[in-house]
Amino acid sequence: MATIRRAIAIPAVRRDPLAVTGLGLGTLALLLLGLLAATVFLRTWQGVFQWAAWDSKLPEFTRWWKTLFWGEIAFNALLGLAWAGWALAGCSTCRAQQRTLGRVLPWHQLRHVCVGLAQSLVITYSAAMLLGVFGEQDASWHQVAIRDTALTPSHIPLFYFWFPLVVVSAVGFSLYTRTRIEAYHRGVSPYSLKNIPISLVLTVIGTLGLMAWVAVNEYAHSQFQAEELFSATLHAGFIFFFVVAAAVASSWFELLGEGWRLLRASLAEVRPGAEAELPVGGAAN
Amino acid sequence: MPVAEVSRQAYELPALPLVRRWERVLDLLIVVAFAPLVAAGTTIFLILAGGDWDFWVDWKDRTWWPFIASSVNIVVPAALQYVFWKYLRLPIGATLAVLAGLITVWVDRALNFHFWVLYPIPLVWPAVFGFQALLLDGILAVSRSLIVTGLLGALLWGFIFYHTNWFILAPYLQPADYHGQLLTVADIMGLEYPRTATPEYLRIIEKGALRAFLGETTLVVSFFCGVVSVAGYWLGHVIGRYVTNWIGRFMRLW
Repeated sequence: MATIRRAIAIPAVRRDPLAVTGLGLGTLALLLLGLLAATVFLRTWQGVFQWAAWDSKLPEFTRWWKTLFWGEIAFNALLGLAWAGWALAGCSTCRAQQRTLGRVLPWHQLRHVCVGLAQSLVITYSAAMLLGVFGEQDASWHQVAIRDTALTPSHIPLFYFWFPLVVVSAVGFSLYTRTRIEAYHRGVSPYSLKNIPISLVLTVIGTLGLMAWVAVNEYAHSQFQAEELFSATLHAGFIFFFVVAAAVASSWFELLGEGWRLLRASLAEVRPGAEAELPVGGAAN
Repeated sequence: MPVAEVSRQAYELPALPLVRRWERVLDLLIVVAFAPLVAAGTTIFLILAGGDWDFWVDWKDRTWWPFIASSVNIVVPAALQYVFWKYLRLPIGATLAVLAGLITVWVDRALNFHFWVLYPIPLVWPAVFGFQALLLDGILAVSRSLIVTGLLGALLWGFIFYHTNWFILAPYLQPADYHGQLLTVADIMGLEYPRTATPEYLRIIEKGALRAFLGETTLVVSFFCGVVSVAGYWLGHVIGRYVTNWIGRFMRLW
C-alpha cells in the first residue's frame, strides 16, 4: 500500500524516481548469493559423500545420493512453479497504477527491466556451472569410475540440478518479462517475427533441445559407450547450449532497447526537456 | 582533431546524474550476467571439441594437440572480438573470452580434478592462451582491421601456441627409463594414472608419425596450427557477425 501511495504521489512530489536502490541491485545480490551457496553446498556434498558413490547398490548410496537426487528434483519443481506463478500473477503496483492513473509509470517499468536483467544472471550462471565447472567435473569423475547407472556423483548435480535450473530460469525469466514489460502485453511487440518474439522461440527451442540431448546422451552412454571420452561425437549435441545463449542475448537486446525508451520517458516526465540530451538510439552510438 | 577529443565528444553522455546512475546500474547488471555466459561459451567449445587434449599432459603431443587446441579455442574469442569491436570499438573481446575461460577451467581443475578425484595438477594443467589473446587484441588495436587481425593475428595465435606452452610442458618431456623402455615423464604419469577410454597409442607421445618433417617438426607444426587457426578465426567471425546481426535486425536496433 505504501508503494502504491508513493507511486501515485510521485508526479506531484517530484522525488527522484530513479534512485539506485530501486533498480534491481538487491535482487542481483540475493540471486548471486543463492547461486554461490548452491555451488558450495553441492561441491561440499560431493566431497564428503563420494565414498558412498562407488556402488549404486549400497544402502549408503540410497541414503546420501538418492536423497540429494530427489531433493534437487523437488527443489527445481517447486522453484519452477513458484517463479512461473509469481510471474503470471503479475505486479500489484502495475495494476494499481493502471487503475488509478490509467497507465504504468515508466520508472516503475524500468525497475521491471532491471529486475529482469538480474534474473538472467541465474540462466548464465547455471550455464557456466553446467558447461564449465560441473561439466568438466563429470569428465574428471568418469575418467576414474565407469558408470553403473546414470545416477553418479557428478551426474546428480549436473543433470538434475543445473540443467533443470537453466530450463526453469529461462522459462521464468521469459514469463517475467512478458508479464511485466508493456511492449509485450501491448500485443504489438517490435521485437518479433510474425508476432512471435524471437527470444521466446529461441528459449523454447534451446531449452527443449538441451534437455532432449541430455536424455540422448545418457541413453547412448548406457547402450554404446560407457566411458567418458570427452571429445566424443556423442557430446556434440550439447552445442544446443548456443541456442539458449542466443535466447538470453536476444532477450538482453529487447530489454536494453525497452530500458532506454523507458529512461527517456521517465526523464521527460520528471525533467521535461532532459530526454533531448540523451543520444538518439540508445547508449551504443 | 585528436582522436581522444573526438571520442570524448562522441561518447560522453551529458552530465545528468540520473543517466549516469542508470548507466552504472545497467553496466553492473549486464557485466555480472554476461560474464558467466562468456565463460560457458568459451569452455563448451574447449571441452567438446578439444577436451581430452586439454585435460591430460600425456595427450599434449605435437601431432594433434597444437592444432586442435589452438583452432578450437580461437572460435569464441574471435566471435566476441567482432562483437566488441563492431559495436563498442573495444579491442578486448579475445582477452575477455580467454580470461573467463581460464578462470572457469582452473576452478574446475583445482576443485574437481585435483581435490576431488585426486589427479595431480601436473597431470591436468590447462593450456595457456593469454599471450595469444593479448596478441590478437593488440593486432586489432594497432591495425584497426578485422581482416588483418583474422589473417595475421590468427596465424600468430596458432604459430606461437606450442612455444608459449613450452615453458610449462618442457619438464614433462624429459626422457625417463621406465622398466627398460625410454618414455617421457608425461607418458609415465599417464601410465600411473589410468583413465577410462584412453587408447594405448595415445599414451606414448610422438611415436614416429612426424619424421617426414625432416627434423623441423615444431616449426612445421606451428605453421600448420597458424593456418588452421585462421580458419577457426573466420568461423568465429561468422558466428559473431551473423548471430548479432540477425538478432539485432529483428530487434530493429541496427
